Formats: sequence, C-alpha cells, structure tokens
Amino acid sequence: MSDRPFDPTRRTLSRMLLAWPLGGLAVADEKREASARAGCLAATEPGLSADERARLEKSIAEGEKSVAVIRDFKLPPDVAPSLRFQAMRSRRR
Amino acid sequence: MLGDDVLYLSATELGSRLRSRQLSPVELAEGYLARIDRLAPKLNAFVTVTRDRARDQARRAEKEIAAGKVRGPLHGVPYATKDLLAIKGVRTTWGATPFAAQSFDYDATVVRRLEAAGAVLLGTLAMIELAGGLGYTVPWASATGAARNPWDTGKWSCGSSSGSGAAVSAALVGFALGSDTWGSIICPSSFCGIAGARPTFGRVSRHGAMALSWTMDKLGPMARSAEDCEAVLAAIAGPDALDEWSADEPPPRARPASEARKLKVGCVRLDFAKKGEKEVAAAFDQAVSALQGAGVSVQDTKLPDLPFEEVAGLVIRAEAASAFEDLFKDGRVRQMADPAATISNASAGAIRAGDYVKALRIRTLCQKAMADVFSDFDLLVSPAEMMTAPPAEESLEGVEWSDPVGGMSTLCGLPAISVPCGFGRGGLPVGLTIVAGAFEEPKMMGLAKLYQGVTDWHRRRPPL
Repeated sequence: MSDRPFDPTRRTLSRMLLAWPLGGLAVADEKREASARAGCLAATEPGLSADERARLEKSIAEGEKSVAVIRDFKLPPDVAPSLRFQAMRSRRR
Repeated sequence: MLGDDVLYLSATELGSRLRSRQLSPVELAEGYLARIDRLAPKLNAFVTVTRDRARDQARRAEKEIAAGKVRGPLHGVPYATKDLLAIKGVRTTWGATPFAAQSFDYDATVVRRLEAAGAVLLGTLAMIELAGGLGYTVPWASATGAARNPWDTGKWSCGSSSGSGAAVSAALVGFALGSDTWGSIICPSSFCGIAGARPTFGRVSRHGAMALSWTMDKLGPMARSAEDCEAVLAAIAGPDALDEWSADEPPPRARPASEARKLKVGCVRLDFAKKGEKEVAAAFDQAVSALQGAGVSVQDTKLPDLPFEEVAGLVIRAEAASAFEDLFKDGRVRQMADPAATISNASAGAIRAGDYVKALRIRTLCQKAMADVFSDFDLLVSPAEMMTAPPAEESLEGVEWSDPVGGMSTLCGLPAISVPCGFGRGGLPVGLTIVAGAFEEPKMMGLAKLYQGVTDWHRRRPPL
C-alpha cells in the first residue's frame, strides 16, 4: 500500500474517470449523440429534398468525426488562436 | 507555324529565345492560340481566350525587345490564369454558373505584376466551382465540366486548378497561375506531370482573387519546370498594400541548384499498406534514391503527432461557409454543378464557434511544432499524392483521399512544390512534393531544380 497521500488534482480525477467503465459508456453516448445530432440538424434544415437531407445527415456525421478530434484535443490555456495568422519562420537559415 | 518542340519549351527557355530574338513574341502567341483552338475543347481547359489582349501584349513585347528594352525572363512569354482572378473587362466566373457573367473593372495584383514583367495573357483557365469551397464530390463540379488529363483524356486533371494543370501539361500556355487552399496546385501538378508551387502564406498578394478561406488561400505558379516556377514566383511575389494579409517580405532570390546538396532533407514516407497505389510508392522511392545519388542528405522522419488534416478541414469549411453565405441566402447555390453544394452550408452550420477557435488554437501548436521540424531539417520530401489521376466520368465519393503532408503544410502556411517523378498505373504521372519552412522557397526551388537536373520526367510529353 502506498504511503503517498491521496492527491485529488483535476488531472488525477480525470484519469480515474477515463479509466472507469462509465468513461467508456460516456464516449459511446457521445458517439450516439453525434449521430442523433446529425439526424436532428438534417431533419430541421428547410427546403431540402429527401436525397439532399440524407446527404446532409451523412455529411454532418462525417464532419462530426473531425470536430470530435478537435474537441477532444487537450490544450493548455495559454495557447492563443492564430486569429491574425502569419506564417512563422524557422530558426534554421 | 511553330511546332510542338517550341511550344513545349519551358517558360524560361522560351524567354531566353525571345530575348535573343530567335523567337518572336507575336509568332509564339499565335502558336499557342492555334494550339488552344485545336486542343483546349478536348481538355475542357479554357474558360475565356483573351485573343485581343494577347495580341496587343505580344506586339508590345516584340517592339520593346527589338528596342533593347527587356523586362525580364518572362518578357513575351504567354500564360493564362485560373478563372478566379480579376482581369479588367474579362469575365471571371470562379468556375461556377452563378458567377458566369461576373466581371471586374481592375486587374488582380498578380496579373498587373505579370503585365509589368512583359508576360502575355492568353486567357482564363477552367477550375472546380468556387475552387471547391463548398466541397465537391464529382470531377465535373465546374461550369465547364470535368477538365481532362492530357496523359489520358478519360482521366481527370484534378482540382481545383484543373485547367491550369491540363493547359501547362498540354503546352497550351508557357505557364499558368493557380490557387491552393488545400492541394489545388499540388494535386493537378502531380496528376498532370508538371511543376506547381504553392508559396508561403502571404508571399503572393491575393488582391483581386476569389476568397474561399482567408487564412488558407494562396496563389502560385504552375509550369513545366521548377526553374519556371521560380521565375514566375519572383515576378508575382512581394508586399502589396492592397492585400492586408500580404507579408512584408521581398520576392525570393534564386539559389543555384548545386547549393541544394548542402541541405538536410527529411523524408516523410506515407503508409501505402491500406491506401494509395504501390506504383506511386515505388516512384517516390526512386526519387529519393535519385536525390541521394545527387549527393543530397536524406533521412527518414515523421510528422509531429498533431491533427493537421482535421484542423485544416474545419478551418476551410467554416471560412468558406462565411465567404459564400449569400449564395445560400438567395438560393443561387442550386445552380451549382455538384450535388453536395446545396447542403454544404447546413453541414458547416454544425461547427460551433468554439470549434473554430479551438482549431485555430491547435493551429498555433502545429505552426510551432513545424517551425521546430524545420529547425532540424531544411526541407521535407514526400509523395505529392498517394494515387494517380482517377476517371473523369466517375464520382469521387469512393476515393480514399489522404494527405497528411499537404494538410500539415497548407494549415501552417508553408511553401511546397510538386515536380514529376515518374509514372504509375496506366502510365499516369506521379509527383514528388518538397516542403520548406516559411519563406524558404529558395531552398525548395533549389532542391527541385537539382532533382530536375538529374532526371528527365519533366521533359516527357503526354500522348496528345
């Protein structure tokens, strides 16, 4: 048994949550939600034919995959967006 | 009448003959105009041929050269632009039916700069509608239909600078201009067996160019050699007060090809186990061997593990949805050729504001990571595409596209060039891409020139 004190920092708590089977359930729920969201958004878009609506649902669901990668990406808070984008020089000349 | 041997010369070779008066600018322009009449319809390459302007410019070039007033290496060399650049008095359709009658009362900065360099404008070239800004699923997603590949007219020339790729490859022009938001210069150059360079973001003014994605769009040269791309880039690059995104950098200075032997090159191998054509992988391996044989130090490396492609895709979708929102508001989107166009705005609507900002934050990390990579290596090489040209008459929906190096470099605003490096299935061209750090085009061009000095893929001609 470890004699280190239990240190419930945000990081250790999140690791515990991820390791917990419920964490996996939450991910599965998120995937279902993404697909449901695609269906819901496609269903409410006005002026589309049935074929276009099906295409839209597929497109949103596909798009959700890359959006999920971005949403899941861990970033420290000090990373600012490249709002005024400029190509960045390397140090090598 | 000029023969193919002359019309297939590189732009710099043409320029040299024009300056030495072995060739007449008027005769050369007429030679290309006649070839355009004969072959452009077969390739769906041109939108508008600017005969009168070409003849006026060619006559002026002839007089100036005869009087000893030489403007530079492109003086008297005929070219054409992708149909998304403003040209005074000429329709600029953006490749899309809703803009079929559009025209501007000014020239785009790059067109003005090429006029100042003495180049002769032959016309505007076909493109995927709105440069693919609404996404596209078929090669005929263009007001002019699918552009054909000169190496096999049953195949596509790729998008979105489709006509630029086909016209250069078929020697309908001395060189062309294209635009690249993600792959739109590199892919047609690879599929059509020509050289095409996407400059560093901000290197070339976009004043007068259609905006698709403000933080990703770039304009660049497409030509029959890397040396041509270098000459054209030198003519069009540089700061421009009319484009607030233009970088305060002077045009790049050419370096001799021999200096490329001193460069440290990283080789990014792609995984052809599940996607792509093994013939492309083999051509790339041969290209790396050729570079090593020429004395270049090439070491395998990997890209940083970052979601380059996902971020690039999201940024483009979000910005394009804003750029073209009027098309959706007034219903003109229904005039677009691609069946996916009508739903693209609603699809992009699923992106939240926070997703876009997060993508731009990840982009900051990507830029830093790549600046570190280019502190270790001067250049990276990789296959330009993992496949050769697909059929022009089939949907692209089943095509498994993968472009990690292209996604990385365009997202980070880095320059890249594709040069032909062999042939794959069906005798179709394969491209080698060279990527450099920001504003390091001279290194990139130097290696491309060195490679073309030890190979002759760029001298092969399609069987037209």
